[in-house]
Amino acid sequence: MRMRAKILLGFLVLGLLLLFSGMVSYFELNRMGKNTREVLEESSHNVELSEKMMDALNEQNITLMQAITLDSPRYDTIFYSLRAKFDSALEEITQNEDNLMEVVSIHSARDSYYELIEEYFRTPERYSIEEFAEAYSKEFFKLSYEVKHYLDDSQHSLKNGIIELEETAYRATTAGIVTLSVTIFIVIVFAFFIDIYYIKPILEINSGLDGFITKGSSFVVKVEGDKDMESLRERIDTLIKMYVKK
Amino acid sequence: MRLPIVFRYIGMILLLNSIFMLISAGVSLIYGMDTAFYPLLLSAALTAALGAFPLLFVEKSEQIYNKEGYAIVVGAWIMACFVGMFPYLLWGGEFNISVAWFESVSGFTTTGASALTDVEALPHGLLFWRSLTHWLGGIGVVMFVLVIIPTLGKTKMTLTSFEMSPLAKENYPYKAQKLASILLVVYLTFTLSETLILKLVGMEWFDSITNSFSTIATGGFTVRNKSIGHYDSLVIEGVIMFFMALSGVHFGLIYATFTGKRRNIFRSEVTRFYIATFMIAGLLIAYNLWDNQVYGTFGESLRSGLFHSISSITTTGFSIADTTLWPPLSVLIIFMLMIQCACAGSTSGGIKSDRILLTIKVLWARILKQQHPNAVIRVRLNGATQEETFIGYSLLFIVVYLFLIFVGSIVVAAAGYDLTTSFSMSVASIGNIGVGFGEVGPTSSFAVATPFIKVFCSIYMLLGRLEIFGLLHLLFIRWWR
Repeated sequence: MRMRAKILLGFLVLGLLLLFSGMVSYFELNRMGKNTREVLEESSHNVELSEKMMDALNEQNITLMQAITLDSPRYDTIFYSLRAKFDSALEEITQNEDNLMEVVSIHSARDSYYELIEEYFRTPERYSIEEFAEAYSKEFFKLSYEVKHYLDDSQHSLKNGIIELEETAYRATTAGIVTLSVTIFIVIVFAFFIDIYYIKPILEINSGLDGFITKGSSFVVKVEGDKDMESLRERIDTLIKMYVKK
Repeated sequence: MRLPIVFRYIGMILLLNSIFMLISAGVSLIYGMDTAFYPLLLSAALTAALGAFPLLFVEKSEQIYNKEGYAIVVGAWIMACFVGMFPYLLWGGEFNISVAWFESVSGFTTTGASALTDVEALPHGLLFWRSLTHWLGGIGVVMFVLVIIPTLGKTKMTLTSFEMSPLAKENYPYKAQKLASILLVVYLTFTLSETLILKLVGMEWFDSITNSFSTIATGGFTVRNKSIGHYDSLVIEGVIMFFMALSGVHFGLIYATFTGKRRNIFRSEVTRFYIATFMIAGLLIAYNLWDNQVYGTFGESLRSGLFHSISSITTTGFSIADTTLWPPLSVLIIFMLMIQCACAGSTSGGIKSDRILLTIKVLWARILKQQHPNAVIRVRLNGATQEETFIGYSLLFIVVYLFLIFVGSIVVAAAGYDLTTSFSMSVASIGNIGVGFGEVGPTSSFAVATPFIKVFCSIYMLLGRLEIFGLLHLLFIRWWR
């Protein structure tokens, strides 16, 4: 291989390594950015749905108290619309397969809460107000506890996403660091080869020529390893011999 | 010394490594492009760039000198370990620089010690690469290149002589080209045979391939946290025991046996000594375990005793039981086997049975000489008279080896580990065994070691793999001029 090709190829390898390192880091960082957005969106969506459920539950609680104390059918309509609001939020969470295990307990608490209220509406004479209040507060707090617990759980489950993000960040930076280290190593080896195959021979040829011109000493220079440099030395040697002959 | 020539040959070895990284990336692809795919691919590209670079500039040289030969062999081992840690580092997980370096050195030197707490968490591609480092290191990273590149001429002869232990050359009455081919034929035949047999007895393809790599290289990496104990199968253990024992025999002798040569396994007194050692040790351990009621029956004691005897003497380091619970006599016998090790010319590390038998013979000759001062007593090994210089070298090796074990134990103990753990780490590292007692027993790993101890143990592994003197040459700077 000729000198020009060797040096060009050397720089090309270095350039490609840097490009490769940049590309890997770019793709990994891009992926990290996408994952971060997904994690944050999931988190904010879960918080939003939990809040929606909590609001609907609290409003149901107030409406129910008004319905019992004021005994007006107007509150029944409001109560059932709030119930629908709660159910739609729960339905949305249920559709998300990741949360399926966690929402089972909310479903169960909601069913017993609804059952108690329905039973009271159907046969109010079965309960004294104290008995109902006691049974109701138990079911209400159980349901609100499950909703809050779901919120906590969904926030904890984000931890896995964060760990994944950490690993992606590690890969993005390590790939860059390792590639740069290898590139630095190759630069050192490249400099070493250029020095021994090109710089040293040129200096020796120069020194040999200097000796011939200033002191008239013979041109004895040993060049090994690179064909172009060997050819240069031979041509100079031939030129000198031609000059001496003349 | 001509450094460019050294770089050129190390470059060839790195190129070979990059091919094997690509093969591992292929495995990763087969297993649904697992998380090791990109790290392996990037590592292969970096290693290929490192290896190909010197080949661009340095012309082929027909003749290399002694110093260059040493530098190529030692440099190749160090660089192979260096690039070998790229896939681990790039993958992440439990790997940081010290763990990745430790795992890579442990793989290439066929030590099999792991600094991981959960091996099963690694993706298939990375597990395959981990076992492949054993397989490459078992035959010798330099030897591998010598086998696959047929046009190295005299260089092949010089490099073969540096890569191979002086003891191992004894049973190879062949030319360098033939010798390298014999090694590869025996190595490949064993690996293929074990893989097929393990598959036939019920192991999955991936497990049987990776376990075969480890067994034939007498390495010790497995793809399961409980090592071979995971399979809990007497048949699998039997197959692995057979191949471990076989891999501890001189490969040249195995080849000679199969080709009907006179100088074969059955005529080799070193092989007989090696087999007798692990059989007697296995029986002694079995009796000791049974006597101390560690296991319910003598059969169970024999199963564990014999498996761990073979695993220790061959420096494989597989385990099927928690040996840290064993009585002191069994532990001491295992330590003795870990120091003696198998035959020269095999893939095992350590002092080697050849040197131990030679020492016994020298001792016997010395006693006879004292009784008969005028007698001419020759020390013979495998029927050949041993020269004084060779005997001196062997004895010096044993002394330096034992001295290094003690120095290693002191260094590890100084880092705060107990006596058993310190001694275990030192013996397991320099002997390329990988598993010991105390905190580095079969149920734990070198994960307990500090980064300094991990690096220290990895240097010991390289010292053991290069038979001490190979690596020590690097320390004598004046010699380089």
